[in-house]
Amino acid sequence: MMALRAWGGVVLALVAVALEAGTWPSPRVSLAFALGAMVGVGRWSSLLLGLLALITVVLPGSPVEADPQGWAGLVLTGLGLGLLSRSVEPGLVAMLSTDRRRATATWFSLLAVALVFLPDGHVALFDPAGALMSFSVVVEDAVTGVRGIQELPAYLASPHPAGSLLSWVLLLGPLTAFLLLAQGVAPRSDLARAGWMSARLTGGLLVLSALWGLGELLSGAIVVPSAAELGETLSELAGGRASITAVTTPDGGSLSLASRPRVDWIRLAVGALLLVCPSLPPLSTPDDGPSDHWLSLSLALAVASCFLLGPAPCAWTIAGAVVCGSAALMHGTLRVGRDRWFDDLQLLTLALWAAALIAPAAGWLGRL
Amino acid sequence: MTSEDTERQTPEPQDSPTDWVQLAWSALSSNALLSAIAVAFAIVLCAGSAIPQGATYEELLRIYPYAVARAMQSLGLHDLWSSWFLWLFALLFSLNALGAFLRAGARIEEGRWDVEQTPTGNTEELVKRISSTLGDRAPRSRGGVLVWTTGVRREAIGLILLGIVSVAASTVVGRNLGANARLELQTGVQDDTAVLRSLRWDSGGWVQARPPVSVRCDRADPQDPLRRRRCAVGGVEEPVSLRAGKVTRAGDIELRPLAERPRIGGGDPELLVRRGDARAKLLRAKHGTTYELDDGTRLTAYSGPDGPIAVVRPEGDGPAALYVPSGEGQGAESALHLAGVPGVSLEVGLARRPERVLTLCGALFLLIGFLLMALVPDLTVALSPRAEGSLVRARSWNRQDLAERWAASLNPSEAPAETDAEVSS
Repeated sequence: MMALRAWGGVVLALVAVALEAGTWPSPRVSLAFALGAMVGVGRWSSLLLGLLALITVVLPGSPVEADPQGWAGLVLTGLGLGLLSRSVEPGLVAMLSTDRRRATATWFSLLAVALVFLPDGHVALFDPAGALMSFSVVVEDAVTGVRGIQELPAYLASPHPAGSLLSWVLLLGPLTAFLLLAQGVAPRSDLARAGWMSARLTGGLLVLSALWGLGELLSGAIVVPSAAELGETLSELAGGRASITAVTTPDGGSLSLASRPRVDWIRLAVGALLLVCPSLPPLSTPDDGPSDHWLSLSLALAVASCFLLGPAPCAWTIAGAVVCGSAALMHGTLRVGRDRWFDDLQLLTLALWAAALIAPAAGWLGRL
Repeated sequence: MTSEDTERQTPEPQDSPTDWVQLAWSALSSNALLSAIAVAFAIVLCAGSAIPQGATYEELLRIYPYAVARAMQSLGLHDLWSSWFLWLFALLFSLNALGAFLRAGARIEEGRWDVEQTPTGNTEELVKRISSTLGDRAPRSRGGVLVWTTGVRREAIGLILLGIVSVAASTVVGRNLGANARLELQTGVQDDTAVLRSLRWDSGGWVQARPPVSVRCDRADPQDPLRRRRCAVGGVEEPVSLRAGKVTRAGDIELRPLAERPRIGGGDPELLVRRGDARAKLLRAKHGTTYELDDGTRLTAYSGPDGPIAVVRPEGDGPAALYVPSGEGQGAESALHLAGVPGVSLEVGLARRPERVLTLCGALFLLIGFLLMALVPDLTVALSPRAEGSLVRARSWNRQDLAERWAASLNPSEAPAETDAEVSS
């Protein structure tokens, strides 16, 4: 466990950087997380950032422009995440401590419900060289009759194979949260047992559905629809404003782990945590005491990166993270000591900051 | 007298104004409320990432169902920067943070202390010793407790709050004094009819409105790949040169060419005149005016319904010929080649952002405030005089061992391990 805490994050970050080696010209999300993992070395939060770096390798998009401002914003974000992870470490460990495990499981069961709604109904097809495929269509405007040939990226409708399992999570997630909250109001051993069993079941379903989805992507097989079917689907998506006829189809394309926007990895992580949360051993953390100066330093970097990234959508969420972090800082400085609000607000800041990078790059914000 | 009568006669307790003030003060200085406001504020800001900002209602309808798009438009979630959400939350957050800060200053006894000890010596001696270890700082008295502070925590928090207020104020300034408009201009026209269409952004979407400043633009040279054109904007004497894809400033106005569309008719005729293999020259003609070319050929240009029309008379008394040059050019004579330049309308984005200075100041204040909080060590020392011996407490919120090291320097004869230091975990 000690070695995992000490070096796990750095090793995962280095693996992520090695995997991203071919995509240097564009600012990748995983590089920011890898940088964060290296800055926060020796902590569990570094391992978390390393995992995020690995999960976000070869995401289809990038949250920032590939210009000097975008690069600078991404580097500052990575440094800021690393510094914040140093500050957030005691809160992260406390979250998984025995006395706060129930609250953590409650939040994660609600998060599991939110994860069901992430977009997972489309897959991207890649050619043997690993590049996103495209196909040609003829688009004809229904009103003016103007026609033109367009190249479209090969995103095909493909419902998640574990859709039925995920619908059970919608039921079990709120039930778990209710049982765990009820246990807090009226402590009863049978309620506690039912709550933890429900949490394990929710986590198990999430893990199973994620593995099923990833297995489908790893198998690489997909039935590409014919040109006629493709044109029909696209015309329906155009809502009658244009007639679309497919000229070519993305033949020879296959699925890869990058085909779905990283939804299954997040489900796997959250599900695994729910599964092991009741029986997790107590975690230790390096006793380097309160480190609120890391929080304020990371907030300064967040303000700078927000300013650099400017109109990019992720800047709004980073601004939200700055607000949460400022409230945490006020708690830390005015109450002089860690309290529950201080830890939770810092964790929320980290979560928002990470989501600001992942969501636009993974395509969670757009509609394919 | 029944019990009911007694109840009627008993006056109901009235909340005095002092209670309400107390209640408001408790709420506004509450740390829990500060956290709740921060979370709500963050959720609103995160909506800015999910909902395309500055999108028109039509664009929202393309992405979201009707009811959702209507709700977003009503709440102004597609234009967060100028929405009432932003400044309201910023104001509430700043007020609450200020209240929490003042409350914390008034209740110095609250909170966790890193070091608590009862050193030997009377109060006067201790005051002198503490002051000397802190660079001869003078203490302040708060409710009978003498307090020394080092660092710039107060100034840093002030700067952070000032930054948040500046950003909030910038949204109000931008909303009331700024302008965001789109003008469709008929190029080459030098009067008020140059503006074909004027739209203004009013937080709910683009609406028809008078242009905030007068703008007139010349035609671009059709042979110029950069599509540069001269424009006169408002009261700016010197015309500015607009270029496709670039933002140009004219005084406090930002101009951005958005689109160029072909326009049938309108404006004075323009012809590209080329002789032989020489480079074509642009003739900006007046309707019905005759021009003599270098070789003596006379050319009269007219504005036709589908573009310019030319009447060409060769040198001498040759027969005049009517030419309707197409876009690709038409040979008027063996050596003379004419091509009509079709009229275009230019869509220009026009913005005035007086709030930018405030936004920049706000970002700068936040940056400096956070850096000060991180980089300057903070130490608070409190001395409570007591009959059984004065209690000295010390704490630092941003340096773990600073209070311990200071306590060791206060009692150089005692080893740090022997002090009754209580280090918070």
